[in-house]
Amino acid sequence: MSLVSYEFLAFFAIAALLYYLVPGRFQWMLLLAVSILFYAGGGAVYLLYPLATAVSTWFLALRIGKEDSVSKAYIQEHKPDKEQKKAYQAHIRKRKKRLMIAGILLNFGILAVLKYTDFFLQNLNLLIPLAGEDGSVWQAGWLLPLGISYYTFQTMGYLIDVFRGRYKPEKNLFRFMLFVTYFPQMTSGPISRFDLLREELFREHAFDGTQFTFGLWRILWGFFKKLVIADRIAPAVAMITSSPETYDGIYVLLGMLGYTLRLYADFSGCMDIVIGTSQCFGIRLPENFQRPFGAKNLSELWRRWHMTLTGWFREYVFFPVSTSRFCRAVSHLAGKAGLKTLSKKLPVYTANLIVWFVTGIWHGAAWNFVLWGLANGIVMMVSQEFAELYRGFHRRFPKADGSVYGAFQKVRTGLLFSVLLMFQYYSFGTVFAMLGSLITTGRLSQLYDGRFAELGLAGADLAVLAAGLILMLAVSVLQESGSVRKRLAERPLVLRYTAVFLLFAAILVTGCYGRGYDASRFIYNQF
Amino acid sequence: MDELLEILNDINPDADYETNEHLVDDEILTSFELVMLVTQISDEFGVSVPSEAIIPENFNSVRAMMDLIERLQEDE
Amino acid sequence: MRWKKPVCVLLLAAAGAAVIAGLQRLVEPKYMGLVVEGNFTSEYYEETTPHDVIFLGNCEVYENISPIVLWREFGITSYIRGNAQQLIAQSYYLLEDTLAYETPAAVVFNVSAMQQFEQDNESYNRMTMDGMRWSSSKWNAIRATRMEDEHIIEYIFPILRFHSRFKELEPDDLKYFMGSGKVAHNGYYLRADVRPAGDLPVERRRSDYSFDPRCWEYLEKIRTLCEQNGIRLVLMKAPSLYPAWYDQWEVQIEEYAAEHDLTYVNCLEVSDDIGIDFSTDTYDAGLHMNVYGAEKMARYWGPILLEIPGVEDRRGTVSGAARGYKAGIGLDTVWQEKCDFYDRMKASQEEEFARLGYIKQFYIQ
Repeated sequence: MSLVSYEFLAFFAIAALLYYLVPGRFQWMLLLAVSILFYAGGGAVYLLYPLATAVSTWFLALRIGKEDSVSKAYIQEHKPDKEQKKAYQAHIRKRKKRLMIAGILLNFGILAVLKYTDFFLQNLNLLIPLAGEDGSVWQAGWLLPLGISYYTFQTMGYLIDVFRGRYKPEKNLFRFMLFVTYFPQMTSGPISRFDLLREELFREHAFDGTQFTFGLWRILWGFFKKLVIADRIAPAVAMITSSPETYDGIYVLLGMLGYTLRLYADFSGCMDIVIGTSQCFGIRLPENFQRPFGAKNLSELWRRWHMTLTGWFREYVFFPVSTSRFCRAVSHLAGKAGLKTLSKKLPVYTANLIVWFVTGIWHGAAWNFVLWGLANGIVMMVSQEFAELYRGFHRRFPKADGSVYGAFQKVRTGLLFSVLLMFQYYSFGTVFAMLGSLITTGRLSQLYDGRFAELGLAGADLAVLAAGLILMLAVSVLQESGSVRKRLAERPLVLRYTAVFLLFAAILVTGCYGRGYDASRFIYNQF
Repeated sequence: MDELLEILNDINPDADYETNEHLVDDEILTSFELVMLVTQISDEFGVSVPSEAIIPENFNSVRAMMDLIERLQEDE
Repeated sequence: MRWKKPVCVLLLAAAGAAVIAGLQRLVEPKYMGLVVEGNFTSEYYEETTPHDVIFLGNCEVYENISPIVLWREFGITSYIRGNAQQLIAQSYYLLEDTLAYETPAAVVFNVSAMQQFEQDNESYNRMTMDGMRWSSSKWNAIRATRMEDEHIIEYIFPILRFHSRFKELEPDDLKYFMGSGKVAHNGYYLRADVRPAGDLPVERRRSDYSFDPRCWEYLEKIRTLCEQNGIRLVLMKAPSLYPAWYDQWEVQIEEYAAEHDLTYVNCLEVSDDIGIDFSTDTYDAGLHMNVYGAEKMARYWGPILLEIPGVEDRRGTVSGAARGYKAGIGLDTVWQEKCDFYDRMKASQEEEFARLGYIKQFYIQ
């Protein structure tokens, strides 16, 4: 079931009604039932995947937890000396690690097979030609269960946390299943941590009018971003980015900005719907975006963009890899060879490239995405190398910290992010060719040369877009000084009603949903 | 303590390590710098910092870092 | 004060609903230009007197017979409830809808809709059903005929369907905001231009000539509904040369009519008796009749209809009682107005056609 559909709205309304009708202690069970129903809406067979992940992870985590309590009891009973204790603990840790690795291999294995088999086959074909006589390569063409990348990551985070002893494993399978399948977030995140979500999910929630209203407002705002902005420019952006031979020059810039805007409005709008929906149930979810285009450099932007995913990678890939025995050994070697700087930076940079490789391939099973990820990683390493230079610059020109310079930094960072996104939609060579075309032949007058008309954006669309962008910008600026909704709630009834109503009416009329109106279809043209 | 301050100033000389208690939360230390810090702590103090110990609470202040180092040294 | 807030909320809600309703009316197509077919269904509800005869069907009825001539020359009161590509299920529910207002003596159903049960163009569904007043009939009509990606909520709130028209609003949308003008003559679509029948596509042979069982089911439902209400059902096949009406189909309809003792007239077979001249009586090369053909059809059908008990020459009388209508209204006055409207439109189209060779309103650039 798509979050943007009549079905979802109806589903949400019924679920919310029931949720506040059943006694508090049954609320989480209702959520579980509703979540399973929601997922089964896309085909009951697909339920098997998240259920397999839930059951296997639940079981393995319990076993890990048992190792912990067994070892604790053993130590208390036998009071081993320090050496013995250390050896015993190492032994237990090894056993726990085996369980964790089993879970990770199984679940990332399912994800890898489903998501990357075709990618693998395509590449294998380049090495050893597998193609049949008609030139086609056999493709598995498996359908991905909805949200598998998200719930797998969330669940594996849990398993690793339990292994690390961060919190105790969940005993109740059904409660754990709710953690995996909680319907607002299951299909597109945010990726939650068990210890935080647990507090929210299994509490009893009395109806809170303010929270509910705030949730609805947020859903509305999400629909605005998604339907009025993102879906409005999506076809034009797709056209520009998929035909570089037609759309060169200034259109490269237009496509670049459009792609970033669409991505942001679509994804952050979707998150608003998800988090708002959850808020209506009284359940707080972690934020996934924090005004990313207010960032002054790329790594800050990435800390504010898809935050739960980057957080996941930092915690479960970047830190473990960079502090791994392998990295330390290599760094040591470099240090001994007298390469002090290299020794310092080797672990970080290795881990960084691995994280960005995985981030890339997480976003899409294609080399484009891998290159895009690596490009981000490389830019961040380069800017780390220049960090000393920047510091020097600012020490010499302390005044270069004003708002103008700040604005410059923000624009520069946003542009850099957008340029890097070109790797997602152009092939590697095309990226540079198109950048070249923009710089050497880009002229504003090209916007009037007829190619723009082909994009299907009418004057009214542009006006709506302009107004929508101004509104998004205004809200973003307001957010910097605190919750917009809280401040709206403090305004007089007429004012806040009118504001929300206008937003609703704007979505209703100017949103891009439904089949659209094509007057020619209404001409009697049977023959 | 002085050793630690030296490492910190080498990594990022701009922060006020004596007083600031939100080094990670305020993003004064980025994750890059955090890892470099951990690598050097391991070398200088002869401890191994496990990745699960890299959490904001352990690195928000110099005091917290010292506590962590001492704890790890005891375990060794 | 304690009552102040609830009253305020109520007022705001009402204002909001009014604005949405206004926006909705604004973006709804008004069907007053090239395409007027979207207004047919709703015009029925503006009638002030009941009808002895109701015609049901698709374009083969609403373009092919003139109720005005039926009145002027035979005194028969009739109404055509037909729309573009009106499916048989929609005909059934429109009949149900009609029965909520009146019970005619006869229903003439055009059988060409037996060819196809499902809709292939969503716009026809909208033009047929958007104009229906809300009732269980409308609900069921939508349920029975909506296309796979049509949602019933888009019928309840047409703004969900037509909102994107905000980009192409025309002067007509303001001009007809309060209500579209009258476009049809008791459901009849008048065309006074002439385009002689030429070469039509060759009839293709089909592998299967049986009608969809669901079509049979609805034909049966129409028949039963008529029977229950004491209405005489008459079947007709209009004199349209295309799409082809196969002999194999003809046989099946003839059998059905015989089995249930229904009158069935295939106008294609009696087109000489009707006097149709396909070089002058069609406006689109043989697909549909123009006003000259439709008037000939009315003259042919008048005597047939008058034989049905309850169908009478009503000239010089007042209207009878019916659920949806006041009794005692002088029919001559009501129909004189209709005749004038008809004559004016016919004359103006004739003048335009003689002058330009086409009719501006229906001319596609």
